[in-house]
Amino acid sequence: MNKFSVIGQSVPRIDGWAKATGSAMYTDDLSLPGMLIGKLLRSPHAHARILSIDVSKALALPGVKAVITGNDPVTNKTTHWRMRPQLADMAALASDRVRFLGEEVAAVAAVDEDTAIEALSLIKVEYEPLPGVFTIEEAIAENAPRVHDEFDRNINPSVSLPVSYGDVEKGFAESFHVRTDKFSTPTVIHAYMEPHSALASYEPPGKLTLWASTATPYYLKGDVAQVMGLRESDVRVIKPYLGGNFGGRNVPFALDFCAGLLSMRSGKPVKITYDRKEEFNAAGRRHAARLELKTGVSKEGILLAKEISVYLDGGAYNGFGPTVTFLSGLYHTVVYRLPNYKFNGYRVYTNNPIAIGMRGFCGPQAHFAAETQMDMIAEDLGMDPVELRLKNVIKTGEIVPTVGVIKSCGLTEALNKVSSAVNWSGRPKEKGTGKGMAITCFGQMSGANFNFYNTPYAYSGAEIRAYPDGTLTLFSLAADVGQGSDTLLCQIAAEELGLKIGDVRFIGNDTAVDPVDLGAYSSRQTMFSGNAVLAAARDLKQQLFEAASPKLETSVIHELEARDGRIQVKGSAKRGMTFGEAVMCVLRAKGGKEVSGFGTYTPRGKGTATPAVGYGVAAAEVEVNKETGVTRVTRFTMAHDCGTNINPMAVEGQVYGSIQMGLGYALSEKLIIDKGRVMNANFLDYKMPSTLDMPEMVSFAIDTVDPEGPFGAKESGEGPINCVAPAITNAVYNAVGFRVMELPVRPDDILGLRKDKKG
Amino acid sequence: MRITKFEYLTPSSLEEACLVLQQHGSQAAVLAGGTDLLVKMKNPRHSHPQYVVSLKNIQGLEYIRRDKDMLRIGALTKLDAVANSEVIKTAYSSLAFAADNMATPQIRNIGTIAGNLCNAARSADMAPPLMALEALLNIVSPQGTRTIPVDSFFAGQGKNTLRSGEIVTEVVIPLPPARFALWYQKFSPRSARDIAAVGVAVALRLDSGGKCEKCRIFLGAVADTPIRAPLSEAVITGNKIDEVLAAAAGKQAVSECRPIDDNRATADYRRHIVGVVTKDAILEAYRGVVA
Ligand SMILES: Cc1cc2nc3c(=O)[nH]c(=O)nc-3n(C[C@H](O)[C@H](O)[C@H](O)COP(=O)(O)OP(=O)(O)OC[C@H]3O[C@@H](n4cnc5c(N)ncnc54)[C@H](O)[C@@H]3O)c2cc1C
Repeated sequence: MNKFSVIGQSVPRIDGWAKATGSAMYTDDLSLPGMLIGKLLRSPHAHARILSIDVSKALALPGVKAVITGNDPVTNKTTHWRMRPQLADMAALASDRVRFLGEEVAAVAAVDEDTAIEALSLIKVEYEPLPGVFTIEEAIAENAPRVHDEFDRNINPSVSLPVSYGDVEKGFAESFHVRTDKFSTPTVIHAYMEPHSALASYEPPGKLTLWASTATPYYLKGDVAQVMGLRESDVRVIKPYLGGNFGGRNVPFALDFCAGLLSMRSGKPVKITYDRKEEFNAAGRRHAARLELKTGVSKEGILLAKEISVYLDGGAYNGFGPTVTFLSGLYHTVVYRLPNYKFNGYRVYTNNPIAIGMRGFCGPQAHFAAETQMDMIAEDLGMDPVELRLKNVIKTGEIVPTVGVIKSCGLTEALNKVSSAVNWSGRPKEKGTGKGMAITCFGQMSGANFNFYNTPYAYSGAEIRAYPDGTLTLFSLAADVGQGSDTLLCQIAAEELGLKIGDVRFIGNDTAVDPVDLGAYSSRQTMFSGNAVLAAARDLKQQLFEAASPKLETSVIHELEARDGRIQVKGSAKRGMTFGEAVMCVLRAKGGKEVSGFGTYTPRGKGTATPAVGYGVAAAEVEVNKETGVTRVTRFTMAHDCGTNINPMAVEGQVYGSIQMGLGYALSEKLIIDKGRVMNANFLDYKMPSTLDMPEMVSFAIDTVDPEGPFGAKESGEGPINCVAPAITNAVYNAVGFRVMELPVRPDDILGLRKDKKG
Repeated sequence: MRITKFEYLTPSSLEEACLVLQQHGSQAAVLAGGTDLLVKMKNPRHSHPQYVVSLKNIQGLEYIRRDKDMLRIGALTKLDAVANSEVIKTAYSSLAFAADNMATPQIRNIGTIAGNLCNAARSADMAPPLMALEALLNIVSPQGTRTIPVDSFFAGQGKNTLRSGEIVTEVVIPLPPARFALWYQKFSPRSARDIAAVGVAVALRLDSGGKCEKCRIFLGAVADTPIRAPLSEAVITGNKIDEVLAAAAGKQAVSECRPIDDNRATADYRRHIVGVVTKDAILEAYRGVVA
């Protein structure tokens, strides 16, 4: 029986109605009186020096109200890396040099879009083209052209962090079998539905309101303030409804700064919205990766050592570079027990658009390599790949040097659950029949512990106000980006205070109103924001108990509870009062001061990486048409250990979405980039799977309770994607009998028509 | 991407439309559904018409009807109407299916059959089946009317053989004779909303003994225009169709196509698929007759 009343229920999204009926307002839906339209001028060169910029003709065009260039920002270096300012390499607008095709060099604001576009064509920029580097191999070559002058072979050493423990050489020496394999993964895009949009309104003297399609309003506020020369809290960032993130909105882009600067310059509100081409050409993308894995195992299949070398195509600027690089190694340590581990990761500058975090934050790259190699090792040892995994998966209570104690891990249960669901032991074992099945594991952090922004605030804060009519307002800056965190946070507040979800109003996404929360990335909201909301609810509850207990004439041995809309003596509904009456007691006692609870969460002493790890296991079943080379995933099964499952419907949504995204990563998606130019910058040529490509999907929740999580909950937003591609490609291997070590595995790879890729 | 400025003209008769078209020559373009034209006008690599001549105010160009031994389809007939027409489904279910398999519902609701042909994409899905069926196009111009077979309508990728001032008014398809079937097979690795990587249409007529009396095979997306595969046709004409023969015809088709490498598929892969899909389409057409 469910001991909770709201937690564990498939509560419909609180924003569902507005979104389904079309009444939800996204940034680009907003309009202000006198608003101008802003447009960005982009570099036609992948690498060039800017010799001069002449904006006089554009400024003279009737209807043009402001034109800015890289000389206009007060500080033209932007970064989330306040902790390590040497990593700040990105400008709001390029001033002396452009480093990728599509980089922003100027911005205009005009009375309408046509005028703004015409103005762009009147800006004269003189470039001196420079040789560029477009692949990892080109970038790290001896004497390669430098993207940033200071970095030889295009590697910023402070981004590349070697990590090791144990002694891999010893581990390999003791191994019965050692194998080394190389893997390669493509650049793919987030492909969120809503393109980036920013609407800025400058209110003299010195205040700015910015509505932006950001996943991290708190960071954006500070970043924009710095560029505009304002104090941090002079900038108010409001995040309207958001149409998807997947990591694509964790760093600021030129539009966020330029909307503000143009508004300041013109004295009018300015809105800039990217079109889909700009998204494809100049917004963020997933790091392409070259990975080399050397792994040693004992005769019995126990992993003894792993040495990993990773090169990531970072594009022209740093973005979330150090985190992505570090994590590309970390995943190898949290899924399987590894006594000896050595990781060298390099994030390489190229003249491609900037790579940033994307769902899984390098997890899909790492898991593709790791999980493929696990199947190869199993085959080498003549062992069932599930058995090999069962022998090596982490168990609750084990210590992982990169993380600390793993307080909950449902991998063993998940492996058993999935194997029996797909009848793993009864599968046909013959290879090359055109049908195949495979099982893979994943791990994913539940929120990042790193304080790269050097924030003085708690990582997550929340406030809950209570009213005598028995309702609440919940204030949080957690930034629902479409994953449903607003609903989940309301569930947590309602559960703790014994109310219904309909009793809670969510007021979020406004930096001038809500307590600081670092926002939506690293699958942190359930763990971090959820804990903050829980703490706020407890703070509030304590006040209610204190005010109610004299009225209820409790003695010292009585315990109170908040339940069914009442504050009452535990187990005795008769000795109690309504929630609203209890609020009234506090209100009176405090002379009318708002009744409010505050809570925060910061992962102090929870290791360097994350307070908890989400886990799961997937099985892919595929059919490969040997004539056409087309792979159909017929069924995809996933068992997800996300701790306590706060909202099963929401978790299923994350699992299904991850399967769709992972399916594209495995079989079809890839940005084709030729000398820095994206050749398939549209949804016709960039092949995302459609609904008709989706398999039958089965999702199980594995019950664990993580002591760190609110009500025992962990992450669910990113982890599931990690193991999707290798499950599919391992199944394809079983279906066709040969391996492709490079994603995506397309029909012509399967037919052997791309001989370079056949492994 | 923004459409550059143009003048929008809405003639209310064919005569008027032909005259404006002739008057502005290469500066003018016909607008039917606009699902191809407007996309091109946003693309800086295409030339941009200064005059867009909409056919929407011209009455009587949207119909599907049987007329003696012919099927007549008005130029402005929507793809969705082709997909759902009982008349077409009865005569050539595969043609209706081809229309139903194109694009998305939104596009099918505005895109027209003539627009698909006039746009002359190498991958146009209406072209191979209509060519295989020996369909004709009725064309008007200030000089009068003319009729040409669809299979001589294409001049290259994006180019048709219309002259200045000409408008396609009607697609005419002969009704099926006895022991006849059409099959169009579109192939793309993705299941939905995709442009054909390869499209193959096969029209078959068997003799009373069950042998192939006549056959027309057309390949889409594997050359500058949809093309005929006469060598492949020759393999099966006069013969009894089976897997082996169909595979041999498929192999011939591979030698007849001239595909390119592009971002959607490599030439090698397209060639391979032409063999597979031609074989399958022949067998399906054959089943269509004998069933
Ligand atoms: C998302 C999307 C998906 C698509 N998917 C497919 C697909 O799967 N398969 C496929 O084949 N196509 C596809 N298309 C292309 C397009 O929708 C079709 O080709 C459609 O049939 C074009 O018809 P239209 O009426 O919109 O043509 P328009 O865009 O109006 O015209 C196309 C061209 O033909 C000329 N023209 C139109 N009518 C006449 C006429 N009566 N006389 C003379 N010239 C004329 C125009 O001047 C123009 O050059 C897709 C398009 C989109 C946007």
